[in-house]
Amino acid sequence: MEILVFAGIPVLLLLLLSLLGATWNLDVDPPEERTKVMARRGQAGEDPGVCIRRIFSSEDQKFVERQGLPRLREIYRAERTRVALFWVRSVSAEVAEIMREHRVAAGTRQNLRVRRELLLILQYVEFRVVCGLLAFSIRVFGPHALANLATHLLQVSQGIGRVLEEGAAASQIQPEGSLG
Amino acid sequence: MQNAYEDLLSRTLASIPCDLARLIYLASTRDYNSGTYHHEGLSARHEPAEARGALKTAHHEIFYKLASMSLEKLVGELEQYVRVSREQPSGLLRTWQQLEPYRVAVPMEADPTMVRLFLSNIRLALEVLKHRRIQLRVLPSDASPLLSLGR
Repeated sequence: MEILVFAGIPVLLLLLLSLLGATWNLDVDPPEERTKVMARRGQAGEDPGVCIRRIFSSEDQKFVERQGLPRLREIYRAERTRVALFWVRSVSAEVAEIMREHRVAAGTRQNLRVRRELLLILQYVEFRVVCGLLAFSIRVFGPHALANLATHLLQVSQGIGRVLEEGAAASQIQPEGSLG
Repeated sequence: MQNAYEDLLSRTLASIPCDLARLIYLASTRDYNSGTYHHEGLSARHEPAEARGALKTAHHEIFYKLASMSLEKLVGELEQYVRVSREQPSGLLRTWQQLEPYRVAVPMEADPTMVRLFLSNIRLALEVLKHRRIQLRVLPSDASPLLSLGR
């Protein structure tokens, strides 16, 4: 019984964090802006990692600290928290939309590769958990506490994109109905 | 495309002293209603479509550079922009804080997170400069060694 309780707590915590990542908004953005996020991301020459590193880097925080102004510190924390949460929500919405589209497409496909689909589901679960954890950490400890987690989130989302691209490429090569 | 772009960089943008001023300049070449870019001199020397493309590319690049800049460097950019503008620094800072004209300088189709980061950093940079000006007004009488020697 005790084992069940101890095993259940982390699972519940992970589910809670995942839900938090999906729904816990600082200021709710209009849905049309979220769809624009997907359309606009990835302009030529833009590395999303640069933006993410800037948001979560402590370099700006140190600069603000050096100014010795409590009001500026407060404004900085509020501003950077808002930007960081916006990014987490954007990337979360973007990947959720891609996964939804993939689910619809996969429903009509006959040559599904079970192993790849399972890998995708696992990566998506990891992605949701990291999203929740990051959103929680940003709200509670500020945007600089888990900077590496933000980079990890970006890598996981890119990993999901890669698996989907490989899947799409493979389904184009293989004739429908063949065993995957 | 490359020719018009290089022309824009070497002739027009090189004469503008800082990236923030370049961004404001490039945004001003864009029509508010249609969103298309126009530069008289560049269109005269190159194909209009090529000139538009060069302006758009340069606008995106400068914005991307400023948006991913550290806050410290952005404060320096803003400081330089205030210096080279012919406006009273206090008036310019107040106008920028109240009207937020820099919002218009954001290129279309820019990544929304980058846009948010840029706008947020400009707000912070304005706050830093405002405090520096206040400190400058307060400090000279206390900090100046010449004044304290005269006491």
